[in-house]
Amino acid sequence: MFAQKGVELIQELERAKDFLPPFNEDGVRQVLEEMRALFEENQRDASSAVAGESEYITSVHIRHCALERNKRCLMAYLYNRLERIKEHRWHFGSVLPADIKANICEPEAQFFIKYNKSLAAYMKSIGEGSYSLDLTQNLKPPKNLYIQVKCITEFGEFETEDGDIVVLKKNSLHLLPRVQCELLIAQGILEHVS
Amino acid sequence: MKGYCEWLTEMYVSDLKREFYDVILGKRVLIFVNFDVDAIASCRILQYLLLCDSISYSIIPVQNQNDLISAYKESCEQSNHIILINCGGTLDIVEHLEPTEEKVFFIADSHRPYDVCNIYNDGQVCLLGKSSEKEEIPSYEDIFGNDDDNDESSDHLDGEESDEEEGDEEEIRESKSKRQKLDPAEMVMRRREKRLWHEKRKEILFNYMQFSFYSSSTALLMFELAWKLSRDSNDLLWWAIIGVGEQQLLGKVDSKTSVLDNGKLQSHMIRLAHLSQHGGDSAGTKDALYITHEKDLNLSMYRHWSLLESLKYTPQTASHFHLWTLKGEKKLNEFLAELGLPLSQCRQKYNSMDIELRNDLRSIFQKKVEKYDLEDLIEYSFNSQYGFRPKNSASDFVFALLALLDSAEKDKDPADAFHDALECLSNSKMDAVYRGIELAKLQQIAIGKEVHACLDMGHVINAGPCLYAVIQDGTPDAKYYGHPHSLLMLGQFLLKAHISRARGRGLRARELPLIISAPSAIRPSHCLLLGLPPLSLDSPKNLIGKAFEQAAENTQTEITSVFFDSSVIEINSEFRSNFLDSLFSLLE
Repeated sequence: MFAQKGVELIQELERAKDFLPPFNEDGVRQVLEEMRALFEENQRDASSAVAGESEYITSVHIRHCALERNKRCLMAYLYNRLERIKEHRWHFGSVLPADIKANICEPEAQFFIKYNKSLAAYMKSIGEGSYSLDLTQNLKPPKNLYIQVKCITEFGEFETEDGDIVVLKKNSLHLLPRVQCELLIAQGILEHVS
Repeated sequence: MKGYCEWLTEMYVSDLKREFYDVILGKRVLIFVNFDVDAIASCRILQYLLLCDSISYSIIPVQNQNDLISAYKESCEQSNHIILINCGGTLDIVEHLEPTEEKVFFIADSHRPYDVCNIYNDGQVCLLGKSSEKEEIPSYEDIFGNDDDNDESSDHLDGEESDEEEGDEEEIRESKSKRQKLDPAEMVMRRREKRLWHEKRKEILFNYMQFSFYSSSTALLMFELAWKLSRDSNDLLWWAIIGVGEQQLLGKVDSKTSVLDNGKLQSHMIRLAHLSQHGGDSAGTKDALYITHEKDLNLSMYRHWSLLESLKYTPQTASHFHLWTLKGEKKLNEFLAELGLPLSQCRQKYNSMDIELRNDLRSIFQKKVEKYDLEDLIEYSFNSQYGFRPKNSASDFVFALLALLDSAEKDKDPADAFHDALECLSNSKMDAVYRGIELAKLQQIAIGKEVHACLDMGHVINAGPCLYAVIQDGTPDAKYYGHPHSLLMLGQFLLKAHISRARGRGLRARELPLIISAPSAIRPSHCLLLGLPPLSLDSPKNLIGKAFEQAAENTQTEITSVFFDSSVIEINSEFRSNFLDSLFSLLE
């Protein structure tokens, strides 16, 4: 059946909802091959149709529809992958984790870099003075800008963005800006307490 | 002089909102918290307030003076505003911590007496709360006055001052010529005056520092701050009640203070209940916290125990019935029989008792307490209930918190115990409270057994000026009372039981303080020494703390007072007997 491969590509993307599956180069190539074959046959039949054999016109029409469909499937596949990459940019920041990086192909990587650049340029343009507003933070309005954390390892001095020095001593409790705690919590230095 | 003094009394910050909270608003604060329930409750209230206003803070739990000093040295750079909760008031902060000029200390401490240098200073140390008449704080003139109003005569006493002046020769010559002008008789008079003044100062200071005691709860102070900021709620009130409850459970305050505090809490409770009724917030009522103030049985944790066990391990009933004897147990059974409570029901867990008995329990007891002379068995208490969950009394919470605080052992960091206790004071963590209560039961059982053992073996010894009891190293359950709070409970129980047994000549024991010692659960080869004021005084003013200090000075022993209470000290076990000998001779 025509356009089977293209639908398979989309199904594959649909099944992996939470992550970006590796770029299916093989699948894309097969679709392209199918399209080339369809196109060649169409060209042959079209030329004979021009010669006067009118019975080929319906088959040319059907093949053309299949071509269009294949094209749309490929476009959808590529577009949705890019959407996901954009989403990852907002989620993970400007550097993608290694496992995601391994799953994107070269043109996609190029796109990612360009997207990064334009996002950064935009964020720079909307901030006041030398500050730039990080749009990727707090996508939902946070309930509180500060969270309470407990220090679970002996870390020592930590300088916050506004220049305050916090001494993270084991078993001390702190109320710190959420933004600055996130990394330390991920590193296992702090623990969020409600 | 008068104007100067007025300015100095300002070290008491009575307008908490304007002079304390508005000052720290928008700054970073550093908070040191002592290990007691009152401090933890105050800390919880303060945390809530600071969170509301996004005031970034760091909280560091501290156990004793050395802890405080080292923690301060480590983390003083991060903030210029330092709050001390239930610690530091009795130390000369400026001398011990050597702070730089821009630091400001706010002290909310229920330990008394305050160090006089904290009361009179140049604004670096602020004491939260009002001064009360009871504390009998010496006036400024009496202890510092002469130092600066009479430069000439203090020159020869005050070495430093004359050192400073050496650079300025002219001044020296001037002062010398002045001095020469004075005739010798006047000089002698002045010197005499000076000496008299110094003697008087010493006496005043001694009288002032002699007794250590507690003032009203810090948690209540913090709650009143929240109230003034219009941020008070039932949760905050409950924490304040727990703070006050600890002081009353451990007998830290006299009855007058506790009646006043309870009155304040009760009026806040009524006000908040009124507010929530008219606020019409019916959606949240299912999980909301209800607080009630009602007459309740004064038995340890009876809602989580069986009635029989609770009766057995509550100090009042145990010492009243002499439950460590066979006769006592029979008497208790007789009491229960007269109340009409079947033994089988009393052995049940309270929750599984007959609902009818449970509902009438208080009135059943009420009828007979007079006959058995047990009036203090029924007292007003604060109870709380979350939605439809079972009721808890404030003392249940206090027991749980104390047990958790005292759960530190050799391999468990005391700070973990602190965090466990702090965790209890958040609405959703009832599990933590129940865990604490289970621990508290074990602790109470251990204490009850130890009292029994001490009385049987005659471990309470009359040393003349005081009673003393030593719990030997290696006693099976020693880990339960190797902590200050539980040792205090053990001491109070033991004293009560010992005195209830005494007859005739033994009654003199009522007038004696008790010194009790137990091996420390945290530091091996160290032991805790705790002094309790005599039962007859009916006042928690304690002079043992001062005696400990004096004895340590005489014997050159190193002591550490634990939890900033001078009447609990930690001492190396080797020096204990020596130290005790010196202490007894002091108390003579």
